[in-house]
Amino acid sequence: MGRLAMQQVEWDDVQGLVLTGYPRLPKAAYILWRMVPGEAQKAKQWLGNLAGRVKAAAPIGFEPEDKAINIALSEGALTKLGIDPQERARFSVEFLDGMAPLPPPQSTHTVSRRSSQLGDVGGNAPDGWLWGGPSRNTEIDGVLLVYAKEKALDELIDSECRLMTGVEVLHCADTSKPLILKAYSRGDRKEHFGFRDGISQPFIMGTPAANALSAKQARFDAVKPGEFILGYDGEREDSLGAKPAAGAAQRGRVPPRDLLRNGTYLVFRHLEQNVAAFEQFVADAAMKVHGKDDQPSREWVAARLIGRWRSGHPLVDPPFAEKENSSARRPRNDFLYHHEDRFGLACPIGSHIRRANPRDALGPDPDTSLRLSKMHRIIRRGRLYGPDGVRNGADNGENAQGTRGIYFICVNADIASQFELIQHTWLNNTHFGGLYDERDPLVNNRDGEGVMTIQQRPTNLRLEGLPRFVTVRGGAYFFMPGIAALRALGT
Amino acid sequence: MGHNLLTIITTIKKDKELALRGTLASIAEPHHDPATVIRCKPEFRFDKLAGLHFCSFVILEGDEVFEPCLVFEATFDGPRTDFIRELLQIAGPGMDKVYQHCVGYPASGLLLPNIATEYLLGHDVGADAFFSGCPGRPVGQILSENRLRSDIVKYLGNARLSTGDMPATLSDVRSRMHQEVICKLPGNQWAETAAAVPDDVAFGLRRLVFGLLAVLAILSSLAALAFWLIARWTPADVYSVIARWHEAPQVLDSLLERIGLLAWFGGLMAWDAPTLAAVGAPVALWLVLRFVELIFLPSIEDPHKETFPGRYVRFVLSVLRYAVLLVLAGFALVALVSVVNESFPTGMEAEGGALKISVSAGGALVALLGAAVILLVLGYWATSLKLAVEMQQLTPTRENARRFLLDVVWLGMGLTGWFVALIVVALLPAGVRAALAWVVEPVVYTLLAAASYALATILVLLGLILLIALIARGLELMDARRYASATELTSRAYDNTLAYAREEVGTNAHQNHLASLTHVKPGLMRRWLLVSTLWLVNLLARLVFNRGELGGIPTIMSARWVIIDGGRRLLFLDNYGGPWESYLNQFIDLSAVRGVNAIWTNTFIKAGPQRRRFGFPQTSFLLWKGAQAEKPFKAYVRRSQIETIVWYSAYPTLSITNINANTDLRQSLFKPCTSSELDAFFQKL
Repeated sequence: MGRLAMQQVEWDDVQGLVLTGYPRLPKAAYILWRMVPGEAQKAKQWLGNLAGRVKAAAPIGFEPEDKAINIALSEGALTKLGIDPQERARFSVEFLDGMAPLPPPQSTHTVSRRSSQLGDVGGNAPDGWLWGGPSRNTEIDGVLLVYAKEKALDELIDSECRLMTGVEVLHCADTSKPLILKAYSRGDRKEHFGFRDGISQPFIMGTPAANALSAKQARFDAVKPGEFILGYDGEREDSLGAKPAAGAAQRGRVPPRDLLRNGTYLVFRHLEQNVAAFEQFVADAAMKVHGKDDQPSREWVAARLIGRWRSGHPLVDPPFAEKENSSARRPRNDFLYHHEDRFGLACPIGSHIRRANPRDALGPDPDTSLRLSKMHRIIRRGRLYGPDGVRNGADNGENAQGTRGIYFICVNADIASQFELIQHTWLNNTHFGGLYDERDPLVNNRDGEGVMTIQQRPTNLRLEGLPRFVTVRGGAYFFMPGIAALRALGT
Repeated sequence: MGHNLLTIITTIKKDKELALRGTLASIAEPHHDPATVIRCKPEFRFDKLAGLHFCSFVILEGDEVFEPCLVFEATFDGPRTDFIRELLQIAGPGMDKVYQHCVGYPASGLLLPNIATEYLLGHDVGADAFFSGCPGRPVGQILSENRLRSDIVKYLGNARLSTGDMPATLSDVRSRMHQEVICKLPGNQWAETAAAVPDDVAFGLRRLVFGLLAVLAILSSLAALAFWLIARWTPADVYSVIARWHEAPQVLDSLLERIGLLAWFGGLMAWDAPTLAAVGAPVALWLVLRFVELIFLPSIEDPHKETFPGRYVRFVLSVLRYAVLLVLAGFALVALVSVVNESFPTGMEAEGGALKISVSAGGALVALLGAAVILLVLGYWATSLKLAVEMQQLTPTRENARRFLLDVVWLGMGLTGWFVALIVVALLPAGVRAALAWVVEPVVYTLLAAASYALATILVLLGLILLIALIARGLELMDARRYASATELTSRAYDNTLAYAREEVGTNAHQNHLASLTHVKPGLMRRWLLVSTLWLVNLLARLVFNRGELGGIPTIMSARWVIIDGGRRLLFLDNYGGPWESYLNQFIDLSAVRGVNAIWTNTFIKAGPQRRRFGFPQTSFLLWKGAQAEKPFKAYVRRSQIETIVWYSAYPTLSITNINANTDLRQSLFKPCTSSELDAFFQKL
């Protein structure tokens, strides 16, 4: 702790999205933009001015009531802004390659290593993406994230677009509509499948929220700042990017420009949800398992797929093991698996929450397991898009027309070791936790061939024929610079 | 019968490297479907080789020193010659086309298969260290055990869903399943017999312990000789010193008498004070050593926090602790046979080491009952201390306290047992006691004398380890100046993407192949360190890590280390499960990092246009730091990687954990199970 106190995060230089998802601003828009060729100077001006409007993380705990703006850049923008190759080489390979790179030209493979790892093959392949793939809307230089209250969003989008110089909003290649991805969050934080989302989030050590955690929860949810912000010690006690020179500013010396400092990587995935398919599967499976497809049977199956009830209560919590209670208390998140549910009898080994965050369930012993899994956490800041169909706690697929899904956004300091590792080693790993041929039930990409084992007495249940509930429709890796770095890019 | 291996390295003819690469890619590389199937090309039907587990072709590119080489790696069942013959029968024309490009390949080619076989065998360099995740199991067994498991899962799934078809108890379910899946299906009847367990797996640990004891015995004899040569101490001198043990703790003796502890026992028995002191002193010393050791023990097994000094001190302390325990056991045994039952009251003065107890039959009964109660209480305490860690998470301090308490309880149980034995022996007739003493005393004294030599030997070895560690540290510090830092390799400029483009694509989502080539640092010391480390790794892989994990890593399927070019380069060929990123993380964050460091700290690579020399990330005392620098380590591995041109696996979708679980499942079919074992049986399905 003593060491941590010395390494104080410069919160006034970190963009606000790292610490908050702006709960008081339910509407958001993600504006994808590109730089106008030959107008780099104007674009720099825009970025420099923007640095003054971007919401910083400090003061901590202050939630903006009217609007918030954040910005993230892609690899293309850095190149076009003319940063020198040495500086460019300090960025991570994953970011420089992008989310959907092509295989190396000499290689005999048609699919790139990254796309395979992320599960972006078959129906998820980047060829079919609306944006960010190799075929359509490839030239994304950055994303402007704006947040506002209900009606003020359009005004904010308008005013921000008017202020753009040297850059322009991308237009969808198919519909020629501007690529302004509008999103929202529900008051009860439910997503389209009807589950309460975003319950389990890591807390950055040293922040008031982390200090307020119970000792038990702090053991696994309080994570060192370097896992989310460049330039600080992470869980392995080494930092990515140079650490801020201690006290350099006080001594009146201008520190050398460091673009990485106080920045982080932002992963953006456009995920379409097939609500009807989910409900259909749950009803069919309930019929098979319980011989009836009434509401409790369906909810039972749905909860096994996720590991939580739609209300968010985890199956590991004893009162909620078999049926949902109408308990008013908040869903628990201070549980671990090794001592509470080692064999997955309550929360199946292959369920979504266990795969996405295995806590202390993997590895030789719970301590080691916890130490390892803390190196692979992400801060999720996703929001919903499309018509809101959730009624009475669930979405039966009939209440809404049109495509809907989630704009998955997460923040991490090392894409390879955090977002990507969760994808390939936990979610898409057929051998996760000693299993044989299963992938994550929620985001697996094997349409109609998915399998899931539900650990049970006397013998395990095996669900087969899981369709693809979630389809990737776009995505990109971005870098969210510190505010000083943004200003430096603007000059 | 373990897996056999071939590593055939042949020099490629001048300017044929590119052509060979093309040939390999077009006729030998199987087609890897995204649907996780490996389809072999007609000229290389690897799947027709019944005993082949894994194989690969890689090309070691030529440089200013070394000529380009072709490496063929194979892991298989049965003798090498038979495998090559079968390979030439099934893929003869293909092999011929490939080896046409190599120097020295007989012009007769396939016409004289014996000569071709001889050529290939002649270029086999084997491996300096080899690890297999499922030792001793032939391909056929692995595949059919997996089929058996999925049949069982399918059967249970159907039985479960078709309502009312399930017997009531688990054991009935199992016997029904046995009937339906194994007895009734002709294809599964092989599973009626248990699989053979290789000797190294069944007795590996025992072999290792016996081997170590034998080596220690030889070294101890040398130590005895050295003692005689230097100090003219004969084993008889050592023996007589130990035989006078009860005279030693004079100080404790008088101290005990002064505080009147002995009077406390006066009602029941009279104690020989020196005996009590000589047994009590080692107990106290042992507890002190254990306490200090626990202080040096890291609370969490986190290799990032471990250092050489901490580890070394812990090691020395535990050696001393075991020595004290041995002395204690010996002295307690001798005290036991020298016990005398005399009528009360007698004096407390010692007579020739005899321990005097005054006990009547009634007194003995009371004492035995009392001891039984104490043993019960201590036993209960020990069990609850052992269970404490299963039920909940303890803080580091409490965990250390728990371990210490557990040791105290065990000591207490031992001493109580000793006390019981004392009373029983004291009641024996004098003739029997004398006979016992006549046998036990010389045996114990001899063993203790031998143990003293062994302890001296171990202390010398500890000194030697310290010396080697210090020399290695010196080398490490010099290398930091001699080689460029691996941190520079993290820069994009040193990227090597083609070498690993195939990873995680298609079939490789489940299993991957890693080929790495590094240069061995010059100097005899480095060579010796590398060779001896690999020897040790090989030994441990055979005898200890033969149940699917190498140093706690459960994803290595088949790996080999080969020192080539007369000790100048190290080739590492590895078939592993899962993605590269998390595979390497295990080496960084688990204790296996020490093995990785010990091997590769002796290597460097040449990279970049100027062929600069980059050292392995700097280690500390050979085993620590090094690979724990995540990004430099990963960049070093990436840069050392060479492209796998051809790769084949006989069971591409299975993990080592799956394979071993399948075997466990099959073996457990024959065991009568307790209900909890039965529970676990169905849990895994």
